[in-house]
Amino acid sequence: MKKDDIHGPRLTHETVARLAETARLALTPEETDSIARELSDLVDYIDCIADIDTCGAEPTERVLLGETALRDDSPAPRTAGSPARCGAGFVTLPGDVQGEGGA
Amino acid sequence: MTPEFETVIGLEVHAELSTASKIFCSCHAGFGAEPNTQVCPVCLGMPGAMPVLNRAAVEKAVRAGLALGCEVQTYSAFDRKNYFYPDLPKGYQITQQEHPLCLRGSLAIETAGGEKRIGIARIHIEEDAAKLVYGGGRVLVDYNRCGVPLAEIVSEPDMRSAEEAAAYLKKLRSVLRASGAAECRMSEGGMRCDVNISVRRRGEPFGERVELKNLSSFRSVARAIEYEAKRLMAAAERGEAVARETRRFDESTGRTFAMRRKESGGDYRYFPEPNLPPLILTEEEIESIRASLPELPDTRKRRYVAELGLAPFDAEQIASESAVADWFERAAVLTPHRRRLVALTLTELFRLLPSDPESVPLTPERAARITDMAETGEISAAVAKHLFERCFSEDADPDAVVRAEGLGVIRDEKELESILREALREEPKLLADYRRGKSAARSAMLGRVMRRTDGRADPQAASAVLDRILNEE
Amino acid sequence: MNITDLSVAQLSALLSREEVSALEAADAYLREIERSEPRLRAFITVTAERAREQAREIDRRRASGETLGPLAGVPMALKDNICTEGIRTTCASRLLRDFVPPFSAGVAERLERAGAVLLGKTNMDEFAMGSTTQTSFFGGTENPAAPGYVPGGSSGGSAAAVAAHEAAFALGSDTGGSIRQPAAFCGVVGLKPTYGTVTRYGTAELASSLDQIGPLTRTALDCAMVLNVLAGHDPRDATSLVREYPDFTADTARGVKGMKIALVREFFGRPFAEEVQRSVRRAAEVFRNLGAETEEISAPVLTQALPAYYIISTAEASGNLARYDGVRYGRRADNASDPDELMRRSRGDGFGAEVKRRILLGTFVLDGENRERYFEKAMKVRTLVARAFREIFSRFDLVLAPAAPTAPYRIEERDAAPETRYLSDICAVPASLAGIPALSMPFGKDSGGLPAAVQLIAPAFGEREIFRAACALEREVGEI
Repeated sequence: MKKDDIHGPRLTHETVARLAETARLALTPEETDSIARELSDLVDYIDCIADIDTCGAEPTERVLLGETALRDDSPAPRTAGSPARCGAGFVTLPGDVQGEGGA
Repeated sequence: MTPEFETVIGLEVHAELSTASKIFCSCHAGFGAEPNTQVCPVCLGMPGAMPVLNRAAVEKAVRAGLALGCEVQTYSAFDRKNYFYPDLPKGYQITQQEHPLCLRGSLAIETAGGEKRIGIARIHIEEDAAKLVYGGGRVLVDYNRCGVPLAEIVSEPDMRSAEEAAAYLKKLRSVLRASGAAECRMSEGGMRCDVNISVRRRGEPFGERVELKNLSSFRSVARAIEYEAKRLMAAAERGEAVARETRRFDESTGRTFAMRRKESGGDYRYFPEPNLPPLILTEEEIESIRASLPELPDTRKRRYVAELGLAPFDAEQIASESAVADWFERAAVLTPHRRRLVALTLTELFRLLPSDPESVPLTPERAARITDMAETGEISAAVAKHLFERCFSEDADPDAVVRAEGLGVIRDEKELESILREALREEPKLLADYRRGKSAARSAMLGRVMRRTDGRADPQAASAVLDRILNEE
Repeated sequence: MNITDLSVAQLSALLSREEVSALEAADAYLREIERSEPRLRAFITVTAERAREQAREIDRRRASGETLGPLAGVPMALKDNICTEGIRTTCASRLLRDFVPPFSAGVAERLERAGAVLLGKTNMDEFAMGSTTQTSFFGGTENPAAPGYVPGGSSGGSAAAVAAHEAAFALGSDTGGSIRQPAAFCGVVGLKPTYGTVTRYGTAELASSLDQIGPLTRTALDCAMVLNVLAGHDPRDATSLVREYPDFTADTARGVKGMKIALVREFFGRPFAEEVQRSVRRAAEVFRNLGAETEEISAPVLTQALPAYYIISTAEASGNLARYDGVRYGRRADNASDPDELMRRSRGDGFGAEVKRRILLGTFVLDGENRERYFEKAMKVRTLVARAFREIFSRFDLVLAPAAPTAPYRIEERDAAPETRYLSDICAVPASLAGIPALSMPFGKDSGGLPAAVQLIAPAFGEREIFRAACALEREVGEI
């Protein structure tokens, strides 16, 4: 039996709206609702990962069989012909920016 | 400042590492090119364009770490810091969150109370973001800066005043420059600073901290800290809670204002960067970089104090710029009058040099000669300054200038007397003031002699002649 | 003789003997494309003129006495997430419908250098998210081996093109089965190589720690021939391994005598269709008859790994797809009042439903405390999967497994609940999580007349053993 039969969806409309804001995805209210239902089912499914005993297992952060690969510090000639909005000159966006930026 | 409170300050400094190419692609990393001419699929975040780490960025950051006494890690790794912003092409910044390159260093600063060590928690390397220009209801993006290698140097919250923060930044800049890690050109944004600041009653735990973002001059760091410390203290005295937030400093008003409310640490959804293998360094590699480090400002400073007898504060200043220190050391062996050389260096040379000097145009030999001439009274102190500047900017020989322009000191009593008498004749008020008992009038009279001789008058001789004239009447 | 019925190996031999020209080969395939495309929609972009030009150039070079490699003049297709300079590369997304990359992917360059002739860019699930090739903005691909059925996905266009003889071979990308499952559904051979063997530079990333590019072909020998060209270090991909690769065709005629092949007990029973289980058992019997040893073992974590796969792949995808924001390239939303709105709406309008779902799931599993509960846990499960394979391969040369849990299904059935659809990757993800090579190959037809397939999994760099077994099995199954 699915959990939302009893408790309602795991992910609420509000949670999905917040995730969509984080992921910068404009969603219609209907989309938000249907995704909330679908994601709830998916989350119920992936929750079964908790049943796997991972005691003593270090996380695999990268599946890499190779070594540190470094590049020499030699600048390549300037590349021309960047596409679309990235040719020489500024890329232009509308409006002003709020909030925090920078590295 | 209320004595029962203290300000607690930690700094996060971003320094552009001095590499020829960017950290993850081979675009030029140089400053000042036309917008979007130093870009490629990698730094523009095109589909499938992948990062490859620049060896020199690692080497420079290791230099910084060693120069700051850090433990350089043989294992470090990259993570993605995920957030959306128009200056971030990939929607994430590649940085080192979990396993930074360097840990646990420190930096000594000179304070009013003597030397103080500021802890350095960590140094990690990451990519810079694009530059945004605002105006006219539009945002213009230049990606040239995207991917320029940065070292983020995170201090412990060990500073207690704006002065200490400024001293730390100056010292950090000097060590980064001397070690060859970074140029730290302030005008080009080569060194930028975020401030974490809180206030607490002495002896109590840290208060809620506020972050001041992206300050690009020592002066704005100091001003921002002073303003913010007052604001936080006023709030604490009123018993108000302080919000943990990010604030921006407005240069024109000298005030800070709140930016976006900072959420929890999960904000950036960090995860390991799958496209970059861990960065493995061997002890041998680290030691060979250590062996290639030049003498660093602190070592020089200690040497100047111990061997040359300089005062610690003076030694710190001179040692702070490698170009100046190299120059000073060569000049110092050419003149016995070290104290005057130090004075000329601190007042004249630093005034004349640009903010990021690569070399000193005045030769050490000429500087030593000017020092000697001033010390032995061949030229006056005022002429010495003038001569220093002439020889600095014109590649002139000091003896030749003195001869050609007659800059030698005037000791001749007759000559001094006639100059003085002429001055008193033109300004009878001076003498009248003197007679009424205004003691300042006497120094004004001497000042007139200096002005009329372009500073060449020997002060003692002039003073004696003046006394004679004043006594005559 | 029909040129398009030849395998890569056969066509290559005729080309090198100048019995067939590259232009004839290209034209033959272009005619086939023209004939089949309106129905199949295996291609998003056909580059006919370019293909002819390239073919003429190959013919000129051969005529001038140049010695060319085995793929010179062989017509092929690339999945549309592989960047091709000057040729639009859409990832089957509305957001990139007009995106023309200024650079080519490492694999595209390698094939071009080898003289393979590019016929066009193949259809796929949007941003490689899906297993049906029905989420493409350009419309879904049909299964040429089973009309009315899905071709599998996400490299369904590549699998269909090869199966329909619209290309001699094609490249796909495999994150959690995106080469192997469509190969199984369309009745062709598909290989996901060892992670790091084939450069990923310039192929739009889905999940960087899992993605690997590989060939789809009509025979196992063809697959080895194409891998010979693809394998090798690319300094622009830091995960590309510095390594000498052997000739992958070397052992293809050797037979399986003495090989030890493991069958994993957990791949029998639910949710695996009975027909699927039967194929695996029959293939095991064939191997035994050919002199291999088979043994059934237990490795429960392999079938439990699916949630870990979905957690890791969506988390990485949420980061990898963040760059598609309408700012620098790609479709931009109109009339946005500020950069933030421009990004939100460009992404909201540009991405299809499945892409949004996965981005949000990936955002969810990294969000705050969920990170530990899902993402960290999944990375540990990944360790267990790799460990299970290490244990198996300490005793066996290969694992024989199903390629997909079911036979192909009808296009109308594609909209099953997402968690059911996601199950279709269950056979493929263990090898993906462990970064090891795996090949899916046709194994006759099931009782319903639909393509049947099996999967061979080897330890890292075990591609030669895979080809050795695959070629032996192929010879027994007979006609391809």
